[in-house]
Amino acid sequence: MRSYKWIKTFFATLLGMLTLLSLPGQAEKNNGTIKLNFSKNDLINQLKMMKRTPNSFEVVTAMCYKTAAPEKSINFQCPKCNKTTLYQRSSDAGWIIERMPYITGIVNRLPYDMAIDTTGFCSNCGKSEKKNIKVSTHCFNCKKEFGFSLDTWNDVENFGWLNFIPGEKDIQGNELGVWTSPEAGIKKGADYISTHVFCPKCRKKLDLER
Amino acid sequence: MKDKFLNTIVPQTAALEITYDCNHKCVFCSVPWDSPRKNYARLPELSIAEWKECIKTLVGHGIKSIAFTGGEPLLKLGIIELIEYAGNIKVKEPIFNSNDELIDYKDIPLKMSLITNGELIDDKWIKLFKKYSIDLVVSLPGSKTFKEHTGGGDYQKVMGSISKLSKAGLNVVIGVCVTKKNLPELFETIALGFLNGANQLLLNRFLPGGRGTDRMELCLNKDEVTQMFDLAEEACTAANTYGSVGTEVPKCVITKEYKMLKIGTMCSGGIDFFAVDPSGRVRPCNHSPVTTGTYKDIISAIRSDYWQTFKNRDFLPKECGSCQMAIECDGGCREAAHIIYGKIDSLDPLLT
Repeated sequence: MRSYKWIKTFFATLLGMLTLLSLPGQAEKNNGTIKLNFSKNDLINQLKMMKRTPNSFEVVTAMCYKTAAPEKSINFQCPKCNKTTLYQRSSDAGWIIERMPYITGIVNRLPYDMAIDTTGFCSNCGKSEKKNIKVSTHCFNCKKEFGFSLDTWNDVENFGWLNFIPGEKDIQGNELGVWTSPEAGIKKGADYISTHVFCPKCRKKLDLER
Repeated sequence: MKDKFLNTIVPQTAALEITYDCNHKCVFCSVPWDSPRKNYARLPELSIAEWKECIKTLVGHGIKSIAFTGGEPLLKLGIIELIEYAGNIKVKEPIFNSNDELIDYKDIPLKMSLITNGELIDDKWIKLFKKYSIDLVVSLPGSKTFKEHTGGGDYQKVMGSISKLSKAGLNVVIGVCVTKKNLPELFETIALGFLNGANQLLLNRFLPGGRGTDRMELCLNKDEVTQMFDLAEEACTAANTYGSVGTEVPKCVITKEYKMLKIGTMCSGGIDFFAVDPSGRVRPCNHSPVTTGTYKDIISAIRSDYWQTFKNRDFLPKECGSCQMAIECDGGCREAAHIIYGKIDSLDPLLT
């Protein structure tokens, strides 16, 4: 038992000495300027030798500061009664709540009438309702009111297709956004817009159904 | 719902800039009071008693975590007393069941982190950080260029601090602000930080603001940002350690998928966190020179038109108006765009 301890101590000391020799020990100070002489391959090998298990990653959104740990909950404030309801950030509802301001931003920028109702997330106003965003709008052709809902992550992501106002370019004249590249994206976007801007009757009438 | 809804939820994290003082003079430092434009008054600093009152008030409004920053927070006289005070505060942590329903609350300590340049850390500080489980973010803007970026900082001393903190079992994040000058040595900067014990990376691309307001020449272009991501991913992969990019980038600039590097595109300023300056004035974003009130009237400050711009994402550049990715992108850093081009919905410097 005693010899085992001795071996452990010996190897620990050896490892410490090697670390000292191979790490900032190689940083030389010369006239106040630090000269660091490491080859990239050496550094990669040393990093691999650490054999780390990564900490679980928790950052959710961009923050110039890294805080102790991001909060596990997210607040929803009801636009109707002002009551705050707490949700788990990692839940489906939490994911949608995080993107709600972006949905509102798109709705506010759209050149046609559209309104959203988020009260389904309120523990007061939406008790029995499904936790989703209800969207009401007027058909671009017949002007009759119709609606749809955003129930899932996918629905919310796809809603971004409505943020299409053709002809926007950056100051160098380059077109911006995903519309500039994949054709598949353009087709998907065109389908989404036709099914969410025209009512079902008009889609049939205008031969927009696939 | 085209009318703007007044969202008055207090963000859950407060960055407390507890002093103007700093022993470094970093070229990239974004604190507004050091801007060469002299457009941010240095009002008298809060006393420790007033900071206690500030923390108490904000906890009363539901904040769950605080980050001590500055300036250099360790230079604030009485900070030990303040940390001990905050370390004994309990906050309510919600408990959810497997159906994501809120079932109860439990009392947990107020979470604390400290953002430091690392030069002043000694055993006394380490003991204190350990006692209150404080997570550390140590600024590491380069290796060979460290002195140039920090205005005279001691690289070896800072690396020694990272090593000591890590050996004490504390979580150490290295905060690397990437400029055109330290980009070429980014891989070794990160690698040496990890090898000295840091267990996470926070990467911020340089953006004009504060002392760096008029230093556009330090900004990275799109290709350099991609190079920054690639180098960081390479170091994080080799070390099997996660990293994140703090300053949000426009989603259209991200051309690849990264496994170890998490890149933020949605700004959390005013929503998940806010800053309290040394005199107690509040701002929705630490990068911003715009104050909307003081911690004493935090709700009115949040109700202000400026803060609501952040709450309602009402600041997307019109050039991004045709992008489907606007559902989870702010078109880059809004405050940097504001500082450079005068309007919050201006283009991020990466897109100009």
